[in-house]
Amino acid sequence: MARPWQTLGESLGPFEKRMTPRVGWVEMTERTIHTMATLKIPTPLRPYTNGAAEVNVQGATVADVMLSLVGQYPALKQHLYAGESLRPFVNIFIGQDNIKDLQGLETAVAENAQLRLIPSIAGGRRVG
Amino acid sequence: MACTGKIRDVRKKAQVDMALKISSVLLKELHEHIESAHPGEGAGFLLGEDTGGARIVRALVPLSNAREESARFNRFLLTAEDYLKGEMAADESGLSLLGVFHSHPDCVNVPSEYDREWAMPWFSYIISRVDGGAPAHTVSDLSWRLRDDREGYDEETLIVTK
Repeated sequence: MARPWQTLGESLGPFEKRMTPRVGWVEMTERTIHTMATLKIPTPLRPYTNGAAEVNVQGATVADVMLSLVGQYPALKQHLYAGESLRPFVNIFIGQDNIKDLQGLETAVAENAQLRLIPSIAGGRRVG
Repeated sequence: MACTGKIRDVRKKAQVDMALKISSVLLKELHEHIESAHPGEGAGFLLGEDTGGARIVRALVPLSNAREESARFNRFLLTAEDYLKGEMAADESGLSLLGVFHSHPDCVNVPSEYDREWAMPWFSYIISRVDGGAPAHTVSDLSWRLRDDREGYDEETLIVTK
């Protein structure tokens, strides 16, 4: 049972790093999280959330929220992350705003915020 | 432009048990969209039903290729806003967003490395070869699904119904 003050270290197990714009990858500390939010999951990723279209997540920033997501559903990680970076097709919206237009993964998440994970779709033929 | 390069690991349909059904009417609509985009790549979403057995395409959401014109001959992009259009169209029609269709102009319709890097799991991907000429015409349609480990694709049987 998750506690409101549960730390990322407790909730996320071994995947305990996050990106910061200042110092790059850093080990997570025993930072206390208070913020609860919801995250809408796109159709092709729902098989990895037991069919849930929306999941509860926690975190003070979008980076924390994403770690909360893959902490709950580890099979999602390979589809959202390449190594420790988000894959290029991953877009995250808070309300109507793409976090790329805000502070990226460091964007603060308000209590009861509604986030949405939206993929861009791309591809193309081989080239020599 | 040459159409060469590495083909990713693919398993042909004889090795897997998956199928995607599409009517000849919808397939014609799909062809018209991607042929009109030639020599660029055309793309859009597949809406339908997943009954647990074969998937059935019930509608298409043809979209404009959002890549810059100079890159459209070998790349397509459907933006986050395009994706929301697809989800909304599915919700409004009571269907599921089953996958994506796109063309490989003048090139084999086997997933490329770039396709793999950008692919979503679970989706069905119809890839069609469209050759130039007067007019441009579709030569072949194949359907693929990304493997769960993201290392390659499985071909699913594409069944065209009346």
